[in-house]
Amino acid sequence: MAGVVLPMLMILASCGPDASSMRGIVRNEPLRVGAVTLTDVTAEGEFADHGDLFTMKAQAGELLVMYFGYTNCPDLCPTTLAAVRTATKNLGDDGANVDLAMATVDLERDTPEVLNGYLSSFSDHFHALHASSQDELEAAENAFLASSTVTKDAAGKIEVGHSATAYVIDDTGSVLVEWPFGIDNKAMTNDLKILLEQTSSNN
Amino acid sequence: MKKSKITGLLLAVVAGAGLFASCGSDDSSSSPEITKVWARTSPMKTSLGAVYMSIASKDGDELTDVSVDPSIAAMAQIHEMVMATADTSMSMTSDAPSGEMVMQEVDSVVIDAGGSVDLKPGGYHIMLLDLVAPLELGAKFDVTLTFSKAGKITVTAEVRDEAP
Repeated sequence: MAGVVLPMLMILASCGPDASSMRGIVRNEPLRVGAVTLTDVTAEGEFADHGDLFTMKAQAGELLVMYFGYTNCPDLCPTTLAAVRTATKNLGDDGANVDLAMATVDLERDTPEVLNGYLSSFSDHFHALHASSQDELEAAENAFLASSTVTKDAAGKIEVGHSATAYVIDDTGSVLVEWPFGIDNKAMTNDLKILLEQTSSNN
Repeated sequence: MKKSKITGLLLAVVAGAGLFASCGSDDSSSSPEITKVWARTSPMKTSLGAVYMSIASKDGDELTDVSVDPSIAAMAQIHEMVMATADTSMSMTSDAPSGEMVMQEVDSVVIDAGGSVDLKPGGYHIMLLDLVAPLELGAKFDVTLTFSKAGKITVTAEVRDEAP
């Protein structure tokens, strides 16, 4: 019994008061991605008017959900993005304080037009990010400890591998929680509620 | 010795009768039971779809082929998401703590006797290629599944945002 209780106490102690009720992964030392920039190709929605580069931070007092994916992704990406969409809806009016960003890992096939259309299916306030080079993409991925691989076989069939985590970022560029694939919309709603409360009490 | 032979024969007959009885009374008892058939709404600007379901089989079976009407999509394939590991040919661009997920086509899905297999996000799915029109919420369409034992079974998928 003591063997069970002790580790639990340690978890509670190490995560602080709010983290214990979080459903995603909360690192003791959060990833800091505020220095990451990616080419912004957003052409629709709230952020259609933007500079050349998007900086990986939420708007003041808000949250940003960031995902590395690609539009020819029939399973993981739409599963996660649909859960984010539902979670944002579950927040009611507060959902407006959660923006979505997706950086495509499939630079060749995902044109800005395709990427914008795709993201508009999941959010009214999204940032469509399309690195102008593989190096730019990899630098961003490295900051998130993410990775992706696009390979083409002899027949020209393209295979994409990618780490399928979604990240919630605050207005300083700290990753507050990481959602590995499989986290459902209820868990996301739970985490976003806690983080939004935290964010508004800090401001 | 003789007695046991007769007993054995009797047993075989009884067992045979039992078999006939079970086949005659309920033809579907050996067919896979397919539930929770759904397809995800397809995002704009994409031509791919995914269909999910749960397949249970009393006697065990193998899903070997899938198809949809050409008015829905040009092609359907069985796919599985797998975690890429260091010993695959995939070259990792960083030593990420979470591995990369890749999608691969599979020849079949085996359902063990008395068991079930869920086709669900992150595992198996039926991928629809070259959708003729986007899959819109509430729409329904047929998917034909071919099993090695049960043959062809057609089920209806409902288009939803998330799993039922």
